[in-house]
Amino acid sequence: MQLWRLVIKELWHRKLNFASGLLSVAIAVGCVAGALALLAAHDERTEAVIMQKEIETREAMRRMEDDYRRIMRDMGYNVLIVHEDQDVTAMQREGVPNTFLPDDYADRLAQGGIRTLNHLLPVLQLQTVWEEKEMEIIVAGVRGQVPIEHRRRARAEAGGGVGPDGTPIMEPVPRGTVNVGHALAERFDIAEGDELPINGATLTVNEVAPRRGAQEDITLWTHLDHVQEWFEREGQINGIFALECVCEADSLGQVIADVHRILPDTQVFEFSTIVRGRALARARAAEAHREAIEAERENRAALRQEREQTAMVLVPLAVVGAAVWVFLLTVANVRERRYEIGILRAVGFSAPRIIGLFQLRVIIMAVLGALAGYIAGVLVGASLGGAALSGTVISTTLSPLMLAMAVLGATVLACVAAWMPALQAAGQDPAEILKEMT
Amino acid sequence: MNILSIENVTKTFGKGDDAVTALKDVSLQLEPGAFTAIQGPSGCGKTTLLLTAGGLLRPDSGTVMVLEQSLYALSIEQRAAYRAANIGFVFQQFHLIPYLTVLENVIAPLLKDNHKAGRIYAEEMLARFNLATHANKLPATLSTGERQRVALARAMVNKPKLLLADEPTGNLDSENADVVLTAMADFAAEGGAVLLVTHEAIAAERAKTTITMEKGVLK
Repeated sequence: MQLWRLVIKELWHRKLNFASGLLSVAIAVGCVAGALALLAAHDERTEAVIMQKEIETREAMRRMEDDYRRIMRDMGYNVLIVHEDQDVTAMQREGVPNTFLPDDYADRLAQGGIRTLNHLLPVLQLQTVWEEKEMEIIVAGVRGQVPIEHRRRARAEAGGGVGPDGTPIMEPVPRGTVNVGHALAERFDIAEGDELPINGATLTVNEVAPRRGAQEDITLWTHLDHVQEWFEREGQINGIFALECVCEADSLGQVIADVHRILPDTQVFEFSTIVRGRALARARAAEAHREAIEAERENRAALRQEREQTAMVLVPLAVVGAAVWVFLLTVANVRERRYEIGILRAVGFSAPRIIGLFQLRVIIMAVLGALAGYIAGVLVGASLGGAALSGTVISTTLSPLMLAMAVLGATVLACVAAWMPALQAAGQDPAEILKEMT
Repeated sequence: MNILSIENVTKTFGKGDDAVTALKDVSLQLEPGAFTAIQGPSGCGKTTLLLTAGGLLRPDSGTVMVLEQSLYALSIEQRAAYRAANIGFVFQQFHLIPYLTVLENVIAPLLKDNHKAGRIYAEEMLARFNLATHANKLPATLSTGERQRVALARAMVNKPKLLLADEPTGNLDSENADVVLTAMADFAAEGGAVLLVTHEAIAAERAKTTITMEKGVLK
């Protein structure tokens, strides 16, 4: 009779013994597969969580950057570039610089590839007496912001849109017009469209500036050409306003270096620390986000380590437990079949055939148990690890190679566990058994 | 040519004061057609003689030849194969395998190379022993006599030359005992040799030769 048929018949006859062995193998293999799937699912979940956090952080930082760019633009210029000989105390005393620069300096800066400044505004500011109103005021001549060349190109390549330097802080003042500081407008009841006599010339009021609570409130803004002409300063300016880029919190040193590279005979003043404070806060927020991501990564790593340690204890226990259980079941099976073995030996079964009876039995047990345990283990492990049941974890851990390795491993282990009892069965003295039977 | 030739076989169990000599210088020859019954009280060494003759119990001295092959000159595995091919066993308790059907029990000793032919022969045997309708039943569903007939069919399925039977009718009624003994007589008549160990006079009467055994000695 074919050995496998005899084994199948016996398995069916002793279902409980077989099912018990199969279950123990399934649990052991399930623990191994479950641990693998759990860790793989954990890694996948970690990647997803970190990636999501990074996306959120990038989005938050982008929004924050836009906000700060807008806020800083609304706050106005915070950097002034003047001649290197400009005396600081004199400038503070008079409210305007008293040294002069060529009026193409802003263009040179713009074309020199400067990256740490935006919104370059060349200006000629002078303190004077408004003769018609008999009041000391500041006259500022501007001709609009100088576009920074590399940013203009970048915007053009990107199809336009708003970006750094995109919307000017100060619109150019058309020739023949004047923008009036709030204090002056209020004091002399000046409104937009009024014709205003200024030191012999008549200019139309283009705009009344909002209250700033600063020097701008007593300033008349007009075209640079008018001011150069009035004060005989053709081709000259005495300062370039700019807005410090928000790309770095501590960028003044870089700004100075950049400006000196292009305009070596100038000096740079930063006159708004609020901007720096906000940039610093933005950098801190970015750092906090990075720290949050790092903390999440560390938490996930700690959790993985915990799971690894649990698996390192659980898996060997389950495997050894299953091997011991298979051994005990085979011992019980050998004892129960003592007379059957005696008969089979008497009718000519060889020792290898008797060993084969028991080994084939555990091979079937191990293969079925491993298949069931592996699939169940992967599903449970992936589910506990938070992976989607249709995800890559399932497809990776349920690969034919992994499955084959699990089945092979379980089979070898079960055969080793059953080897001694099977050997003992084959080594039983059939004469002894048959004498017992008579 | 003798089918079974036992020469000066001695077998002792235990050592020293506890030693029991089960067979003392026993010699026995069975030719083709022999149907020999060994009678004797319990513990006289009948089963020991049967197991020794079947290659299952190595004697301390003497030789056991089956079809001119010295059984104990063979290795254990060679002996198992030789036994499977040439010797059939029948026991008092039948010892059928409970989870195999009647037919499967009969073909259990068949080796792979004679499986198909053996199966056909097994079905013929079942028909011969009036068991054809029970072929797919489990042994537990059969009567005692039917079970012994299945055991007999199993012993004969490999067409052995030597049939060794240990109290085969001990648990049977006279009708079933007659069927079994007739089958053994037929086996011998067809050229085989039967060594029957029994303490029943009625069984011994069916044998051609009856030998009495006492304390390990044939008389």
